[in-house]
Amino acid sequence: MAQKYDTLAIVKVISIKEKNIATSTIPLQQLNNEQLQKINSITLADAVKQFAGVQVKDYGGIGGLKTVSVRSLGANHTGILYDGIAIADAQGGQIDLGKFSLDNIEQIQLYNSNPTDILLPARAFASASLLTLKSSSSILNKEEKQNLKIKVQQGSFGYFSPSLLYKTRIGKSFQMSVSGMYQTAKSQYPFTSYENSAITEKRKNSDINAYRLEYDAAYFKNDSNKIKFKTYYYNTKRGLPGSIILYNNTSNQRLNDENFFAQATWQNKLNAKNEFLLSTKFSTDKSYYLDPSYLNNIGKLENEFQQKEIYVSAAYKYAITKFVELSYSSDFFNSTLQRTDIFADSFANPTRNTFLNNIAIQIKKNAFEINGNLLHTTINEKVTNGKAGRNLQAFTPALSTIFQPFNKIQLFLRAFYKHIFRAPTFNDLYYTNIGNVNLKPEVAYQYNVGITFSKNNVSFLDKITVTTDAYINNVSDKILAVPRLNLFQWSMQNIGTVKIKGLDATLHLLFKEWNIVKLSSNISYTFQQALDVSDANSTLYKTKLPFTPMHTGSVSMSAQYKKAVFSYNLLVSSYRYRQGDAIPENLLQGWSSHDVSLAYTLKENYKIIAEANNIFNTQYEIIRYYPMPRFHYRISFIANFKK
Amino acid sequence: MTTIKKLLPIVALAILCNACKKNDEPTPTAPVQLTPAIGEYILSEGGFGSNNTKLSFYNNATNTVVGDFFAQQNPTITGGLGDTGNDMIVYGGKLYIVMNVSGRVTVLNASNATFIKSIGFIEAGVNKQPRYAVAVRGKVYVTAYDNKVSVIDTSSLNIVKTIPVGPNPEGIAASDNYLYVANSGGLNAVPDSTVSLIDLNTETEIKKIKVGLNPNKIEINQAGNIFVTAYGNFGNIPPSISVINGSTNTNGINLGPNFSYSHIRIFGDIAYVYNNYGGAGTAKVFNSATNTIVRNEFITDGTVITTPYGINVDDLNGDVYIADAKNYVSAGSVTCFSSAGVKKFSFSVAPGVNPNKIVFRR
Repeated sequence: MAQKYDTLAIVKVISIKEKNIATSTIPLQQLNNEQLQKINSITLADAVKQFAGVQVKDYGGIGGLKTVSVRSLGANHTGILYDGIAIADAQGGQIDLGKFSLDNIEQIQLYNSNPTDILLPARAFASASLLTLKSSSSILNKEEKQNLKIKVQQGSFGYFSPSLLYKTRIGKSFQMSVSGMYQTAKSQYPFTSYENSAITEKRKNSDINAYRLEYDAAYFKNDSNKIKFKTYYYNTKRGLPGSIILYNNTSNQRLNDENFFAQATWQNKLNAKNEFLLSTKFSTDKSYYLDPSYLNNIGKLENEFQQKEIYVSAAYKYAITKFVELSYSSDFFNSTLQRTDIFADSFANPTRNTFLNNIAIQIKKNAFEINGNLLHTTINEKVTNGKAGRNLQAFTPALSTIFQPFNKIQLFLRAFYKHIFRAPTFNDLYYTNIGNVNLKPEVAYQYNVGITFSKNNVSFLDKITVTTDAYINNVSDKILAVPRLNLFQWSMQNIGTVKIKGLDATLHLLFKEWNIVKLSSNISYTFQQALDVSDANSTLYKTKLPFTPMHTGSVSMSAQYKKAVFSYNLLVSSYRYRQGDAIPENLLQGWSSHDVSLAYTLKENYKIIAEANNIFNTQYEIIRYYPMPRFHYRISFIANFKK
Repeated sequence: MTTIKKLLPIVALAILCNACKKNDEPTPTAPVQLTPAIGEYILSEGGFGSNNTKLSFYNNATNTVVGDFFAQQNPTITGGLGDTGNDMIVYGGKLYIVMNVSGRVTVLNASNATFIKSIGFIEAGVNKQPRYAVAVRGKVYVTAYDNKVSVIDTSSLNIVKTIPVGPNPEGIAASDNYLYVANSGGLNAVPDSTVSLIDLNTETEIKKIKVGLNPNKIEINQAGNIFVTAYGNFGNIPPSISVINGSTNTNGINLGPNFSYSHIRIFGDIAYVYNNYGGAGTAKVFNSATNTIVRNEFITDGTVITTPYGINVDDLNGDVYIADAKNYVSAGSVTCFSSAGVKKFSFSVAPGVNPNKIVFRR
């Protein structure tokens, strides 16, 4: 296909912005599409494993649950924005990152506290850390009129996934795109038997079938006035293989999920001082769980839930002076959960109205910056059966700053403080027999100090960037399931207290071209000590949180030679314990996984990527009795036509 | 959705409860000459899905404990016992360990805990979930959630017959002529409230006897009356104890609100009743012949048991052994008391978690 650049006058911007991680008041890590292609990842969960401070609880396999805990605060404290608007799960509160395939992701950013933009919905300020995703379909390169990308992936254990992305610009100011993905895998990967290490067994009931459709449309009146619209549909049917049970390889449980949302944003910069952002979203999420071999009188157990959310947000930014900006944002969302299966009995069917109001200030002069905000939350809760959870009012602040102590050196010192909470989820409050409507929110305090350094042109390096952040997090009123009254009556209680100390370090090296070989390297290291200090009389007092290693790290390196890119990725974790006493019985060994890939561009439009994962065929677990896949491969073929 | 999956094991764990039923060869109605115990075997069920059921052995002569005695005696069985051991009985020189989640009954030599055989309870991709066992007339009878009692021949160690009973049977006890099986219906929307009466001669159910809602444990006292504990519905219907007259086998009589307990162990006529959670006292003691309370709190010396999870009595001297599950995730312990409720000694069963059954090796 002919390569021809359109000469139409096009509105600019729209292309993705990379932020400078060395001058951000709060620790920020990011990956763009090009980097994502180099790190052997299918899902968002694979990608965020590269980040410092992040623990991904990966239950193994493509369909296996993957949740992310940032700085040991727990998965419920991580917020996710997809194309600017929150993805929420009022029922469970933990988003499965395995559900996001990367074929339509242009950029991933992880902020340890607040994002550093202040013109954002209030909800962006309402979690302890924030993962923002930008879809490829929402972005059109200003030099393109049309873009068609087709990708076909094939891999070990019956993995097959075709995807398509088509973007077009109509006239000067309108663009639209469609994106679709289908994914199937048997995922019956082999693992070393726990009963006899000389035998290899295969994972059972771990198949997945999923597809996703996205439609984006955008209208750009001019550079500073844009309206965006997006719909998203995702459908998955999968087996739940469960943990390995010795001497019992039965596994029959199934889970079907269906997620839909439609959202729109209007951002308009009225003049140099005034700018607004309006956002709205409707989402519905259905889940169906089936245990077809449950030993009751009808021979099965079913759970069928439907969540709905209606969301509106208005944000306004005003520049007081050249250096000082103020913003105010106000959000409302209505979340409902209905249980519709025959076992629903007298389920609460809760409705929650959440009001968020946030004021934020940004003071920025040269290399000095302060960001502060105060968030007010109101939660009102209603149920159709039984008692409703508590209503809630709270103010929570955050503050961050960065400055450059020496004029000539690109060395920055930064610090942040954030106080935030997460509301009890609908499961925490209303889950049959377990839910507890008296729960209070789980509170997190974060304190961080950091130092960043960057320098261009250092001997063989084009650029070096180093960031190091030390932090203390305290979690109180942590919501945990504990037995109460008797073993049949487990109950969610605000009983946990966790003290977390940690250090995140990242090193980014961009090498000078050497014999036309381009080298780059990213390294991250995390030290964490997350101690359970809930009960001084408990044997677990001051023991480490389950599944929390003290040391983790990642290395990713790539070398480009002409049309070939070779990449190497390493993930490392030290030992940790499962729940219980710190004794050998509960020990999980440290592990490492080495991945390599080779990408080759054929002509202009075609690319082949061959990935070899876990090349040393290591058998390891992240969660006890959930074996991870040993060696596996993927081959991708990408065709990309631009006009 | 993901949380459902996470919570299910909790629910399932909640459904798997402890055992404290006594069923050594000498039935209470026909005592035989006992020798002093050499030591105690302790079964710790572990955590659901954690594959950490442990068998510990406490040596009475040396006062030492081997926490993972099964591993020590069976070094080639690297997987260990498996997941969630609900019950253990000793009969005819063998230990029978009922592995609920692993779906089998594992048979060991009672003298040294070496492995003999495992009897499978998994059929057509479904685990029938064996729960509790009793031995009588040369056979071992095992309840399972497939609404049957499986009959194990103790010489061939095979299941030779299954006896249909009510839904999700739990506790089982044997008199001279009958088996009594508690039908919990615990997995149904509405629990059951009957005991199946099985004729030991024909090995068939004769009738169902009405007891409290969601029956759990069964013990038989010296007079031959049958005591059945029930969980209730965890809401407005509390746990209860019903007594079945062993000669008429007519509907059980509820002992009333002073006997709101889900677990029971009878030694002679003395009944120890308890609820297997912390904070509610350890155990109440009553005389089952007169149904009069002996002591509201068994322990008299202030010893603290956080979570009484299993009780057994040494038939020779009346010493009471109480297993403490503590916080359900740390190592458990066992404490031996005199019948007067005074502590004699105590030991940890680490790495055993959730100890639920104590049997005596003689």
